[in-house]
Amino acid sequence: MSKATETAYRRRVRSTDVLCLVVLAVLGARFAMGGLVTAPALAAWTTVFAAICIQASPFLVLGVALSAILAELVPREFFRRTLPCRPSLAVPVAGLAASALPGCECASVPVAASLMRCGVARGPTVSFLLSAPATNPVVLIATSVAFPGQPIVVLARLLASITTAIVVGWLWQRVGREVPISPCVLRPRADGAGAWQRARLTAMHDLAQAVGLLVVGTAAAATLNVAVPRSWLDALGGSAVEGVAALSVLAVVLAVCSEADAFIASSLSQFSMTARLAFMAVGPVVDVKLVAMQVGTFGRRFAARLAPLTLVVAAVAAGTVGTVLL
Amino acid sequence: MSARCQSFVLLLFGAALIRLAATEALLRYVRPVARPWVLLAGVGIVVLALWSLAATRPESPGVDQHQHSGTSSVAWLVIAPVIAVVVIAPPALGAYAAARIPVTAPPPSARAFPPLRADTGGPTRVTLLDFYARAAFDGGATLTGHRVELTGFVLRSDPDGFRIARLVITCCAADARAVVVRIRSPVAAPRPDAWVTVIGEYAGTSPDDRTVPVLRADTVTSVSAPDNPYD
Repeated sequence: MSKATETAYRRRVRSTDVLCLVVLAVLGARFAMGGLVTAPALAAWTTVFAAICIQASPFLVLGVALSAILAELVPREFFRRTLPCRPSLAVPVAGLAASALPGCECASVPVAASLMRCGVARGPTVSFLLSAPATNPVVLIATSVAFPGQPIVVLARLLASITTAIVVGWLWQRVGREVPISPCVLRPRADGAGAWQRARLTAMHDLAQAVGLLVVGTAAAATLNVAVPRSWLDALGGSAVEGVAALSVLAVVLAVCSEADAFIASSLSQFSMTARLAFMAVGPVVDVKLVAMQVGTFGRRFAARLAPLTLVVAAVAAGTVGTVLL
Repeated sequence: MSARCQSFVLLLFGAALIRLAATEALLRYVRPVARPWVLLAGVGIVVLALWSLAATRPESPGVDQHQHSGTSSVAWLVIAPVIAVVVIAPPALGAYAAARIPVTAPPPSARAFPPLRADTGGPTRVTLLDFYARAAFDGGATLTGHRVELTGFVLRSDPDGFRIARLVITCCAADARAVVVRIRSPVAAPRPDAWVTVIGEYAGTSPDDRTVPVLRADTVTSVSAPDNPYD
């Protein structure tokens, strides 16, 4: 047995042992402390935390399955041939095409990663990443339900989000050149195995990764949901610019699924319509959970540059569209 | 984390989802419409995990062998939601959450409120959300002259009675909004989080908060929590 395989063998034994201990500890805890968590704050935190994980899991599975199929079973040339060659043209095409894919932001990160893996340029990939969770039919229908009798809100949301996706896509095609991307994204996977085996490996890796990172973001969102005093939100009603800034920040920290954020926005009636539009334009493209997923998938430096750029463009786009239309 | 370990962890997660989807506990977290999707997700994850367990030989190195250790250790966190729903198994959100979140409800989906259907003899059963919407957006015109029956959990006590609430969820418990009704009643307030059914008549809105409708109750009954705690 070579040194390398020996180390690998030791590591495998260790992680499986740890898992056994964890399972035993969990079973022990089930008997020792079932019903012990009676502190209302902790119970509420756990309920919110579990609720987001459960609600997101079908979208994650769908996204990961789509991603694995796109990455391993669709010929790599397909996307390069379908999208226009010139990135400046491919950016809006990818942004508009993304509208057809139902799913929230959790699903769009792995799918965008697989597009990149297939050789799609960085600008169109980013345009797809930002457009898919914000402009798909499910989100637009949810928005029309949340703002009954106000179809203009749906139009404003679509315009603000598609503008953000295309503008950031174009900018990223220019400024993203020097930004290194995590080698995991570009690395060809498990050579030699059949296409289905590769798809399985991709799906396993992406799923464990996505659920793990979802847990990080969800824990943050649950903490803010349970721990931020209500009076803070009421105090932020303020002026137009302050309102847009406040709700943009709120969208980032709350990390609500894009299919649910319209209902939250419609309930934030202390704020102007434009501020609420900013909440719906920023939330699907930048939030704590999404940034965590981007760090895990594309690398820290990629997320550190893309997130602020997207935040500014989305807030400005929402402010402009809101001022004109609403 | 090795490939087998990753499979085990995901297997636990998938199994927890299937178990949830098979019980009423699911409704503490998400709406009933999510049930088939949660079940499907659980089955998908379990199938993938079992397939991976079958395909991975015990002596094969982990899939993450060639990756940074940082990217794979995050997979351990997959256990966290399993612990949350299986070990801690928290109750549905109640008075604690309702006291903290903004008391707002979605605007009514219908333009006009149809008249309440008068049940023969007994009071008319109305959801808290419907009662609130009829009071807030229609001045309570369709409520006057009816004996209505409301069910909710006790939020807190008032000098002249108590308040009951119901949480309305759109997607999952994280986006819950509270609907509150003030109950004017001579009966002593039950403890917070206790479920009650109250019968009485609409009596305008609360003087301290115009968004809170008031019910003058003549009957207050303790009930057990409904299967679906949210409206």
